[in-house]
Amino acid sequence: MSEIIAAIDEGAAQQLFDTEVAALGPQATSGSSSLGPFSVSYAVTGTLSNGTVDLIAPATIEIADLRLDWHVDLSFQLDIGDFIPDIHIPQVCVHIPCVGDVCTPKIDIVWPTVTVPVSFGDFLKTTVDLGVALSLVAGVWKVEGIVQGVPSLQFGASTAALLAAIGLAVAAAVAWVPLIGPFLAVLAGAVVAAIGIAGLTGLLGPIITPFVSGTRFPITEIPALFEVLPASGPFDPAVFVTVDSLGAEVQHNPPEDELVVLADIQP
Amino acid sequence: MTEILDSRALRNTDCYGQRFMKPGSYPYALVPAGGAGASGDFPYVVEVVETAAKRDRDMHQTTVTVRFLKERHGDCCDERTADPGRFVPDQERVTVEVGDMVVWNSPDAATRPFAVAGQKEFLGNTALTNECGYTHVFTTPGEHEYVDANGSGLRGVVRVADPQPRNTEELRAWQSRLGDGTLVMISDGRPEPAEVDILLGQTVFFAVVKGPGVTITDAALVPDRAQPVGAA
Repeated sequence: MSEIIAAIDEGAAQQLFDTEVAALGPQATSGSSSLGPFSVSYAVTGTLSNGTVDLIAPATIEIADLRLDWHVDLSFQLDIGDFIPDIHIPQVCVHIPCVGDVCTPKIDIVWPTVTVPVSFGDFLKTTVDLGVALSLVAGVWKVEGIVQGVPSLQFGASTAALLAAIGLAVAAAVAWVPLIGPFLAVLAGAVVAAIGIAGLTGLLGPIITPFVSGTRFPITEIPALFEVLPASGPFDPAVFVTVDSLGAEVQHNPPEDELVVLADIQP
Repeated sequence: MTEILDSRALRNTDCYGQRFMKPGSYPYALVPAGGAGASGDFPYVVEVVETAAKRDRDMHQTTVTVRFLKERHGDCCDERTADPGRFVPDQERVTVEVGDMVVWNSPDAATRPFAVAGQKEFLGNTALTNECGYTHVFTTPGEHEYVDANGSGLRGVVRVADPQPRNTEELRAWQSRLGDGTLVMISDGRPEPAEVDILLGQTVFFAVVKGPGVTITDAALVPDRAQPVGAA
């Protein structure tokens, strides 16, 4: 039987969660990945906030409507020639009076490769389950809630908006290219179509999910050498017990659901 | 790769043409545009001969293709990056008849702009004098005002319309018109017509009949000459 028991109800758990999620602050990562047919480099930041705590016996802490604000900076190389054919200016001739016909040679306009930068941000909401993890680190028992599994993030309207942003970014990036004008709409449309919703979610899912999946929310810490009575004088020192093991569970103690931490001790 | 309208600096969308009216040997060099010039070395030749054939024959045109080469050393294929390279024609000596025209063009978009520098002053694109011309494919829409960077007062405008095709048919219709050329005759520093309207991708031929040695240069590149047409 456990000798120390501590419990918090949902209201206290909510306060604790709000404090901890605020303390997490923005997280950032960068790398390279695929965006449809393109190789992209990216830098992404994510900030968690909100979320409603629901304790569900026997072992689930559900966080509903957990909000993740994310911002991504992408950059990819666009070989324009992959999407629209090169232009060939045919031989052009004019007749010069009293001289004769003068002609230019055929001229091939070869499309260049350009860098397309895209900057975009949005937020999403998701519901995650936390498991309780216990660990003894450097003489301190740590109780943490860890997001279980890989939540399915729904990007919803953001994907369409981001595709539109990519189309605009393509148009801006190639605006300087000679003769591109008549092909601009076709090019932007072709690039967006090549990426598609699937390409976008294929990029966003893996790079944004880690901001939620596996996230650890500290719940409490208990020193393994736990002070049960403080010192009350020079000849009456503090009394400590050693916490041998720790357990945690969600208990339904009507009318409340509570997160309960159980400790086994020895003098 | 942005568009630069300047007859002194030939790119893949430009041609310089010179008609030869007298027999003789006309050495020339191919040099970087704006560079130090040929330094007295004119390795290439236009040989102009007069034949016994009838003199009122139609003008013939010979096109010289210019490429930029980096020197190679030994049997290997490494290029020395320190070597600035050189411009070479596809034929070092061309022979034409009196009254014929030679046109120079580089088909490589990556090649830096070049100039033709003749031993005789009239031959070269840095100052267009007699019986010569400059062609340019306009690749950006808008109003392109050009002036003579040499200060003759030459001034004109090329308005380039963006066809903005809405479908494949309109795109093809535009492309089918890329072969249409527009002629501007320049005599004594005056272009005729002074203003022309073309479609994006079309070519304007600036034919210099005679003059003091002019250039066709985007007015923006010659700041002190950037004035509206008609203000002079």
